[in-house]
Amino acid sequence: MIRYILKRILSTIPVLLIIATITFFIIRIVPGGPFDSEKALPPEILETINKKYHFDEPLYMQYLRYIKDLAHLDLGPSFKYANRSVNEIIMQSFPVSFELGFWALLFASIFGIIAGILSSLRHNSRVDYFFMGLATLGISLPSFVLGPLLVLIFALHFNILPVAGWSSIPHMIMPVITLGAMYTAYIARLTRGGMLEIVNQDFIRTARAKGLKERTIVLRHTLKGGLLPVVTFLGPAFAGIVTGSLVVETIFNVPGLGRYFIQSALNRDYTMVMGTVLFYAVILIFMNLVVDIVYTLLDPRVKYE
Amino acid sequence: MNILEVKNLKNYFHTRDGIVKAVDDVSFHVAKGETLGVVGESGSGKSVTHLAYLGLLPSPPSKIESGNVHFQGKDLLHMDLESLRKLRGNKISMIFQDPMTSLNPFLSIKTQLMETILTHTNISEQDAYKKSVEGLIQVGIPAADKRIESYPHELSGGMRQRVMIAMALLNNPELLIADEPTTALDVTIQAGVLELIDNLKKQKGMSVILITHDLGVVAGLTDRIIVMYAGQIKEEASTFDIFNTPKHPYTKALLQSVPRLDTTKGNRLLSIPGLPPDLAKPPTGCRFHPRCPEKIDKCDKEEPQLKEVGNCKVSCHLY
Repeated sequence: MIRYILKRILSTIPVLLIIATITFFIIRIVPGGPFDSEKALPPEILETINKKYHFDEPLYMQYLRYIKDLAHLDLGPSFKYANRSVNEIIMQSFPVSFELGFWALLFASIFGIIAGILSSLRHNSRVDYFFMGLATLGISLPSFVLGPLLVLIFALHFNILPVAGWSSIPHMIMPVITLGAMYTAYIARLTRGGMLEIVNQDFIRTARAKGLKERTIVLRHTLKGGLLPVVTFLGPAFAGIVTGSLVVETIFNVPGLGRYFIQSALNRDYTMVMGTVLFYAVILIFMNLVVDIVYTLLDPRVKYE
Repeated sequence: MNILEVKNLKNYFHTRDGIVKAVDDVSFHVAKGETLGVVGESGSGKSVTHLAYLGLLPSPPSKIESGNVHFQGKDLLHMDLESLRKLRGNKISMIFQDPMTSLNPFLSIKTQLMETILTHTNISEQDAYKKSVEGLIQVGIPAADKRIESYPHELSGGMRQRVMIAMALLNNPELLIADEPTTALDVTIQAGVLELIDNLKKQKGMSVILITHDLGVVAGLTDRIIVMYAGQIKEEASTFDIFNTPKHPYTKALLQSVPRLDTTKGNRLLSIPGLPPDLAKPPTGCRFHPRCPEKIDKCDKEEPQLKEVGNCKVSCHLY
């Protein structure tokens, strides 16, 4: 098992190298550059800047230079935010996004799994229709609608929660709900589907024939297998949610990482794009590894050599 | 004394395509210490009958329409669910057809055996563990104290069916219902499993219902056999009479479709032409008449009743 984990960790290096290479050249193909603006800069200033950021070198030299820095875990300076390195920006904004995403996903998991279990137990009943209707709403309601709606109701009308910001627990409630709503809906649907899949298996009939209590059948015999699809979903979902959401962070003015993903691409902030992409890739790869390890805990048939 | 008495049981499935009469007016009994064989093709209702009165069918679509089922004098159909649950796996145990899918792949054998004991009796976990290991030894599993830690996928099919049997017998049931216990197993293992069930039955003095589509399986084990077709009982007789003087044309056809070693060379193995009927729209009259080689005029008009003919009961217009 430990050998397997080490192997998986080592195998991420070539994967990251490939991602870095592809991203590096794609962002360079895109027209425009980090220092283009409405008013053209004087040529001598442009020349100084180009020299400072090594834009005067051939592209492959710049690439090699970038990879060399990357090997030292240095993501380089931001082209847009003067005097700040990409490492600094990520280190500063990631904890905020992580906190928001963590609570949102925890909220989503608890309510999604409970709703999914209840739906599957009362399959095709009013309870089921209610939760699944709610889930469909959750999936189809965009966060840029839900967020302002919550603000309107709880902040402006009832005046019980702050409109925006990120400094105390009350500030966190609405962003967490807005971000978590869609995930709650997905998890509820996945839990319901997974549970129903297992409930119809022969071994559940065996469990009934043994005279087990209904609660034991659900919690011990069904849940482990029923949650496998949810675990599969949670890995990538976690990677996505903790690296921030542009919409939710913008609505609630949360100083997270999400907006850098979009802004850096719009700004042609080459190093920032590379930094956010690679950072997301690392977390995604790591979470997939975690999911694979959790599989072995849930399903004894899964073994890695 | 009869341990189980089933009278006029009807269990229908209410589906979108109509009402499927899976069990239609079935009556039989099982005496204490007796082995009853239930024989029929797939879809004849031979399993559903037993799943129905044990409350193991999903409802809806399944519904018991009428009838009486008494186990040791207790009315199973009008009992509250909790009392029925306490009987299942305790006084009445079941073994299912496919040991590959009937054990929970997510749980160890130990968990699955111990929980069977702990739900029904108030003993310590250590004692339940000891009883579980003894159960495995009883069904001939080598190194039982090690095997008990395994998960189902780590065992062979024969081993898993032995685990199922051990699990069914942990609480010393009065009635064991074995639903095609050997169908999914290799022929070489079948005999061993059947012998095991028979030996344990004699040791514990329990009654057994052996459900199978294979007459060869029931021949040596059962005292009495009921033959089911399309949700109804067609013939009921002692094992001896079924094999030597079968009365119903369906029973005869079933017997002719069992491969035998003592037939003369050149005799072809018979198969019954046609398919079992769709139970949402069963044929009029006798449900077997479209496939019956001895069909007479009234067969497709009048439904025959189960009547006593000599030592047997037959539902056929020929008698």
